[in-house]
Amino acid sequence: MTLPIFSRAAGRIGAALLLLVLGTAGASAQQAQKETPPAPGVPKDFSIPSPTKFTLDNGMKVTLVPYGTIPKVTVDLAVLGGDASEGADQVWLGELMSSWMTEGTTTRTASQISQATARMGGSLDVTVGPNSTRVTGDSLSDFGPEMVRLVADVAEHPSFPESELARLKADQVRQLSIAKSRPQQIALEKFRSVMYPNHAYGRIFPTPEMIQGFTAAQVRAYYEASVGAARAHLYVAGRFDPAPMESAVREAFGGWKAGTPVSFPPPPASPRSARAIHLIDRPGAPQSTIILGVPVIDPSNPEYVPLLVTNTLLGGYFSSRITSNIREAKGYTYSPFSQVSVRYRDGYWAQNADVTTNATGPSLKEIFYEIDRLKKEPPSADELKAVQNYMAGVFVLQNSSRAGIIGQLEFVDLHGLPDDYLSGYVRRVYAVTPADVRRMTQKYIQDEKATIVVVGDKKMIEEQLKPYGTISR
Amino acid sequence: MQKNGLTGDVTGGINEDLGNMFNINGPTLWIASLFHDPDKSPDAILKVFDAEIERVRAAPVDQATLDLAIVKMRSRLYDNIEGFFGFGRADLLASFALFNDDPGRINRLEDEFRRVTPDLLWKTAQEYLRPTNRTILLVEAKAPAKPAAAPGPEKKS
Repeated sequence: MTLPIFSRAAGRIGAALLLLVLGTAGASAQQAQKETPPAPGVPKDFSIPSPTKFTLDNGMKVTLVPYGTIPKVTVDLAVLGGDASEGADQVWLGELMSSWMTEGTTTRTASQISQATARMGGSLDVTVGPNSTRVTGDSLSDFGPEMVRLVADVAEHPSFPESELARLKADQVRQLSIAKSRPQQIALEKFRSVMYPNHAYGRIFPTPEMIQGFTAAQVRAYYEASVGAARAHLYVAGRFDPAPMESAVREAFGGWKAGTPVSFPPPPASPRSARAIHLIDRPGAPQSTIILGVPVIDPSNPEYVPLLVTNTLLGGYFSSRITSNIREAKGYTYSPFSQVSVRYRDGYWAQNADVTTNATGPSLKEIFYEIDRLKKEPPSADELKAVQNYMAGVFVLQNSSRAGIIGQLEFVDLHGLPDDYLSGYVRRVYAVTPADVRRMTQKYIQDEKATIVVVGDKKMIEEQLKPYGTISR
Repeated sequence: MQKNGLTGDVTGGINEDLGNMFNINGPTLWIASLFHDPDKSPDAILKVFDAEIERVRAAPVDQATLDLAIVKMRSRLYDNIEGFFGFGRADLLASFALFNDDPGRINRLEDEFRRVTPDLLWKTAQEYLRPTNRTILLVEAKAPAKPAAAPGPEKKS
């Protein structure tokens, strides 16, 4: 729940800041004195512009949010289920279904779908997350109702043309081999499998053989079982005419079969994390990829926001303690980050870092040091205030887009959060005290039970790791 | 590319990765990139690229195709203005202030694109999308290291 400051956006922010710096340098050559920048504004509560909500007879929920000044509209159909619905022998079956859905409907070919999308100045994607499959259309506002009809058609009437299946499976095998060439993905796969044994959340990747074995009948059966109105929620955000939009939604989705309501697999049994190091050898690796984590609460717990504040201060933003320590002070790594990663009724806290090979052990030492320090003494009020200002500012910024608003609404609906979760978020962030941060660390960041995954050059790092836990392979 | 099973996705555009096609003035690159399987040769991929590029170089596109491109362009422009957590608009204003001393150009950009004719597009493609004008970069996976290449006797583990 933080800005993706370490991702590709970071490069763009960097580029934009560079422009600002260059601009300032030019100006200061002419002006002797630099102007003091204005003080930042007071953080405001986030409020969603009055949505229209209704439920169709088949159970599909609808939320229409008029938003923004840009003449575009996003139509997002969230169907609950997602990866959590896949069995042990069905990893990425949902992804295969999703890519196949845009290959044709009973009345449109794939090329008609993509031509229609292009004509609307839009995009249409079907994506799978841990708890939902989403059919997302984005278009110029002129075409809002038409995009609703296209999203409905793809969701309700996929034709699953068999001629395309072999190619889509080959695409998946390629994606798999690209993903598994990346140490972060290898580490995540191991981390999840340790944290979630025999559970859908623990299965990140299929094998190539599993993909090749998927049949058309399996995908169709999966679609029949996991896609339907009773587990769907349509979100529309952007600029649109409310009345024609509502009637387009009612018409396009009113006749959709209800299907089976969603039921998520129960959360994995606890305890599911014990202090141990899982070492994956990557001979010659110049860096070690570390994931160190523990199970925590999910967003339905009232202490979730205080935990988010604690995470941000500990490792979740650029000025956080772990980042300041292992990046700024020690220079072990470039882009470490910690996160609270959540799924339905499940969450874990994890610190991630790619560190220089010879700093693998020292990095663990510093990460544990920072966790222990926060358990022993609360942060200063100033340090916490900076975290709160950052979180409040980022929350409003990241919600100020069609996709941002829809993402937040889906989050609230999935986790069954109270109506004031979004409007009261900024207030709840500021209500957290230094003592709360210490208590959250003690209660939830139980590093004595941390699961540690390291992907790196075994012969270089094994000795370094020994002080921090039993090494299992 | 997709239909031929050469790749799952092709990404690219003008001034991609540095900025976008609206906030640049001066030499820039048009880039397209994709991942392909080891059993698909770069030549087979280039053949498909060339055939598509040749279509816009051989003759002017029809007005309907150009209209479609304008719709896509508008959509991308709006995304850029709104994107990047709202900084997109400021970025474009700054770009036009810097390059043209005219931040108000943000309001006229759409009209400038609408003035592109099939003929202009054709001439532009002939001038810039020349095969002799391009660089092709291939990134290939290294062959797996052979354990026998390590010096000295090794213990079996």
